Amino acid sequence: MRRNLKFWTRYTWENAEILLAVTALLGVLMLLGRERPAWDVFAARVPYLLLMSGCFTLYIVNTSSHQLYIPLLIAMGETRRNILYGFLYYRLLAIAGTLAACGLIWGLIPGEISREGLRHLPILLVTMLLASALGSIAGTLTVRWKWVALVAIMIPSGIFGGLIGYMGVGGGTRLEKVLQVASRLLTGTVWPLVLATAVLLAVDGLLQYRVVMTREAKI
Amino acid sequence: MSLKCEHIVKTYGGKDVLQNVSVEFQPGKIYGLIGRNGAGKTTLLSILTAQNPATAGTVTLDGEKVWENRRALEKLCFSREISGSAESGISAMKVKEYLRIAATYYEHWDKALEKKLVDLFQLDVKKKIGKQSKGMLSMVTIILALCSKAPYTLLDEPVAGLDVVAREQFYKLLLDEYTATGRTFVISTHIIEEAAPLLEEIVILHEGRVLVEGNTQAFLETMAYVSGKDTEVDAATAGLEVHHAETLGRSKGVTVFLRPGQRVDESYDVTVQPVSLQQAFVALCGEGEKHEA
Repeated sequence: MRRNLKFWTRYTWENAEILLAVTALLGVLMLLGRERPAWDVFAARVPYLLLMSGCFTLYIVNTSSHQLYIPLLIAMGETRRNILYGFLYYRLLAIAGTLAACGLIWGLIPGEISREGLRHLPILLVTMLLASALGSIAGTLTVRWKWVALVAIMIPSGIFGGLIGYMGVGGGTRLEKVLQVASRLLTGTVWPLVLATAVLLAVDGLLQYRVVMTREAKI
Repeated sequence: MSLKCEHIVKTYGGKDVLQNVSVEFQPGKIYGLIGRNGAGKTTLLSILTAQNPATAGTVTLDGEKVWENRRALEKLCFSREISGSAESGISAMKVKEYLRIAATYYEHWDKALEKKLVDLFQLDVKKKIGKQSKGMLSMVTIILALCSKAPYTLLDEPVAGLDVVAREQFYKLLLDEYTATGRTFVISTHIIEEAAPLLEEIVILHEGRVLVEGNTQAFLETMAYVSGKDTEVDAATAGLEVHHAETLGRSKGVTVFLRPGQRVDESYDVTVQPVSLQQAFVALCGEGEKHEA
């Protein structure tokens, strides 16, 4: 289990580098926009950029983990049960790390944006769990049907890319709009979101167990 | 104390790829697993190491079940062929990263040997797997197998794509490692003639069943190649199990299987020669040649 934890901790860190790079890109786009926000507003908005990147990275990485790393670890002689635990550990670590960073930034920067952010942490946790479950489900389905990967990766990537482009052109103002829409969506559908996340996590758990315990480690 | 599978069945889409396969691999020996394409060799190796679940049957190592047993899996290494194709997710991974993950998971990974082999094979570890040639990918699988230091190491077509020099290097490395450590190696290969001198024990798999299992030399002694004039050959081999026959005009050559107590009647004008492992394999697994003379 020690080796397994070592691998998945490093895996989390390597993916955190991707997450930070995407966040930095979003931040730069926001600053280069037509209406540059004030520094304190920008700093308080950074956690949202981190969360957007976090959801996207979690989704994509969870999908690709099932295609590459999970069969690879089976091929390296790890038990499937340990791999499932390790994968779960990675997901929780990534979510906890992202939310902790957000909480820290909001805690350090006073103001209404930060207070609102801290108040919304539970629903942001649910959102990240949802992204994580969706990515993992897409990954397990890909094991059986390769075309799922095409759809499951291209559509979210397209949406995320479009969002970056949209915000990149308008900078702070458009990011504000995106965040307002997202906030309305999330806060207006708390219980359906919680319920959907719970159902998807259960489906994810079952699918993962079924696929990982029966698959061949082809690399 | 052995790696053992009993009554293994593996079914893919209604087709039995392995049919009631039972084999035992004793410690401290080099085994050859040979069979034609599609005989089920890779499937058997992957089931033996829990990389593929069997439809039925059990695999044990020193009496313990291998499936989901970390203690047993730590003693096993199956260095399987890496496809490296664009479809495979691993194609984007660098060799360096692949070996780093292997070093994390194999408890007794030999870092010094890894460096030595990377230098010997002149492998560019910074290059992605998808950019490596077939021969280079074989070298990666050889490095994994040897550096894992697993007491039971299984290799699937380790010399595929290697040139003759690299193949000789591999056989020497394998023999050195075997002599130094006494590890058990199971090697699946199509290049039978070259590997034959290394293979102390042999398992021949044919159409999902074990056709032969045992000591290579003892097995070869049960076969003979008889040649001469067709009528003389037929008379000399009457009552014997003929597995492969070649005729050229009135000359004939047959490979026969000798059951205990049987022998070729050398009073006829025939030449009796020992067979090589490759000849024996072709005789046994060739198409439609078997008949009782």
